[in-house]
Amino acid sequence: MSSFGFIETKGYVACVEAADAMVKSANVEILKFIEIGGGYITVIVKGDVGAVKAAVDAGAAAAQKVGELVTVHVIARPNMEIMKKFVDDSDNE
Amino acid sequence: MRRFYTAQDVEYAASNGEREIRINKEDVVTSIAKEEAAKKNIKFVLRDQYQSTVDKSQSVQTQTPTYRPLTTAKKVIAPPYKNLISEQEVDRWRQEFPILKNIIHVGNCSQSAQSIRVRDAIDRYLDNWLTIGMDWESWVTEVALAKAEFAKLINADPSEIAITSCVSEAVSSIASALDYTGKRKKIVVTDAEFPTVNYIWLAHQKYGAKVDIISVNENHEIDISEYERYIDEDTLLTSVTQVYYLNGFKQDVKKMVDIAHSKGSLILVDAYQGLGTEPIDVKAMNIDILTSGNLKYLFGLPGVAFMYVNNDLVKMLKPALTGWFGQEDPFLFQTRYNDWASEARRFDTGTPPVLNAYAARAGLEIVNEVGVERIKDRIDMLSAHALNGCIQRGLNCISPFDVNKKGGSTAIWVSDIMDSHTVEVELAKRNIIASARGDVVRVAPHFYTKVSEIDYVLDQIKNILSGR
Repeated sequence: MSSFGFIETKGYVACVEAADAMVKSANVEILKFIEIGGGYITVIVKGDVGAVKAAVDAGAAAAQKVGELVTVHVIARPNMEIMKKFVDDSDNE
Repeated sequence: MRRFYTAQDVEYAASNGEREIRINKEDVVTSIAKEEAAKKNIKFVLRDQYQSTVDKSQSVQTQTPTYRPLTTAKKVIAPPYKNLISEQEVDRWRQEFPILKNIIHVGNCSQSAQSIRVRDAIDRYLDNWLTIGMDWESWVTEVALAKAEFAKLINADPSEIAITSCVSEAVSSIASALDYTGKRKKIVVTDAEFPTVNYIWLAHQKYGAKVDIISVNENHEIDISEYERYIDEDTLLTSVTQVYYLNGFKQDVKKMVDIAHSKGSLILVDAYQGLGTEPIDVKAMNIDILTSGNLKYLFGLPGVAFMYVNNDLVKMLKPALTGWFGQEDPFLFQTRYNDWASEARRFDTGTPPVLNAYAARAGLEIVNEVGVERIKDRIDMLSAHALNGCIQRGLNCISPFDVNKKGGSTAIWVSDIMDSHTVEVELAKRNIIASARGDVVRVAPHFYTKVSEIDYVLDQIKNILSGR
């Protein structure tokens, strides 16, 4: 089962920086960017739990160097039905 | 704003030998950071809890604010002291600066002490104005002599020097001369710049400039490899400070120049924070543009700055920020076209700051007379003494502990105990001039500073932070 990692920033640049750091630091796949509005933006990654944790850690470090990091979160064993609703990643194992 | 602690923060703490990381209640520690901390036996401690522990243990001896000693073990690296200026010579020079009789002046990163020579130069202008009344010929000559004295300091030709009222004007003049419509439109700057420089480049985004800012790292430094990463074939100009105003971190100008040029970028060096304490040879270093004001280590005052522009570059730049003194013949009084001067004088704007040029020249004369190599030798020694003094007193210094990477300022982090401006005011009450900036108080000696003065200043900072 895949785990999900979330990084939310205020501002696009920090989010891109976070995403870049995440994919470079661990074997994760970017699922999507979600623009929440008001400058807030979230990037979601998927992978095994260790990789997601490492990626979110690296992404957090990178994001706060260039912009405003709002929150980070890892869901290690997500409920896939819920994930489908929020992330729309239908081909999850 | 809450901070997110990651494995990098744990690594950094571990590399400094720290056993705990103090965090605020609202801060977040990532799971990886927690795992790393557990592996390395490092604890995350809430600041409030830590403070209450310290308060309890010291409640009998001290009053709040409680001084928190630095636990990090650091070692000072310094070049060998050559003793190029003897104490007797220092004592002689101190007579030139009357304020030093009563005041310890370690605020030279902000404004150096007034010298008799500079005061006499100002009086010379005032007397001339009072008695002759109007003497433009000698006033403009004085401006030219000030330019020549600045040129001597950096090994330039006087024709390569422009005079402005401040560094902001000098940088704006260059920014207004660049073309941002081609492929090369990127301006690389850093977080270590004095902010005025970045404001100018950011303002030029409206003309098409693309500004890329290199961050300072957790040590308040910039690794030279960052320039390799940021400067590319789209970079029009790289704008860098020689010394970081906050903590005195000194950059390798020659290496930055070489990297910029290897990518085809121009380079502008803001030397304000270091000029006079560190030898600069614009020819040997192959610098395109260099600018500095005079009130810090050059013994001048606000209201005047100089800019070197390499002769080969001058004719390629036509500043939109201009004025009649920037024209080839200011006294032609024609109104139909721009005819920029063929020399760096084209970056002059309106009527020059004559009074300030008198002061600037006199201050520069002192620096050139003493000699920058000798000044550097003494300031490096005083820097090493200040850094060791911080370690001995447990003061939290954020300046580089390698003096080879450090300008004149030694920055002591005080804001977790007390507002830095309050510390500056408290020091002033104890006859000490130091300079607060943000979270730090900067101790910035000049060649006239005595070792005993550094000790006294550090003792007083410790006393103030300890509530004494």
